[in-house]
Amino acid sequence: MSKILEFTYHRYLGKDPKTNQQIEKFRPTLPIRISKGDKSSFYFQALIDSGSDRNLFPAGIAEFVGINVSKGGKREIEGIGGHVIRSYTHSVLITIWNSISFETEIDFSYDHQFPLLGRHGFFDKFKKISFREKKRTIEFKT
Amino acid sequence: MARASSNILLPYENKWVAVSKDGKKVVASATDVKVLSEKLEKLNIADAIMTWVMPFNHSFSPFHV
Repeated sequence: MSKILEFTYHRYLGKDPKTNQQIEKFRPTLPIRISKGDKSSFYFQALIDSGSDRNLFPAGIAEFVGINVSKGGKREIEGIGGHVIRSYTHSVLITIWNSISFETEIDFSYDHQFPLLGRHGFFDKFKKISFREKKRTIEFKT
Repeated sequence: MARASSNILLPYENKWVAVSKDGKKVVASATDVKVLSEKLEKLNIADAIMTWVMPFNHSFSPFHV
């Protein structure tokens, strides 16, 4: 059965580059956790990033649930400015805050902090994902 | 789920923090997400939500290196 989930953008702190004043930045993040076998991570905010080909998380999250990160399939991931980082792919169970869970692949890297939910392995698990920038909400249809 | 006030993140630039479920306070912090997770486990706090506090003068596009 189809299900609709709605989440509010999360508040972060930033600085206005012109005035150097403190400002709030709202980002489309989602509280999720990962599990491997019997061990689960704590919930953490992950950025819903349609510009990312794949899911990319910091390696520490995988290590906490007992994954031997460097044993995963190696990938090179390129970002803005041509920076390339190494990652290791593992299959895990993702749970979205008190709702749905699914198995997916995540690339884990020691060179990356902000967890990213990308098109392969996250967006492709839903029928529709709608960003409502004015309302600062995001809606998922399963 | 309550929305966190971003002001509570002010002392934690460039760190991982765990915010209470009601969004009102930071219950633990660390420079590494694994270390933060281990702290939460030791403190027996199950319902905090972890988040990365980016440097305040950075924008995100699409990953931080």
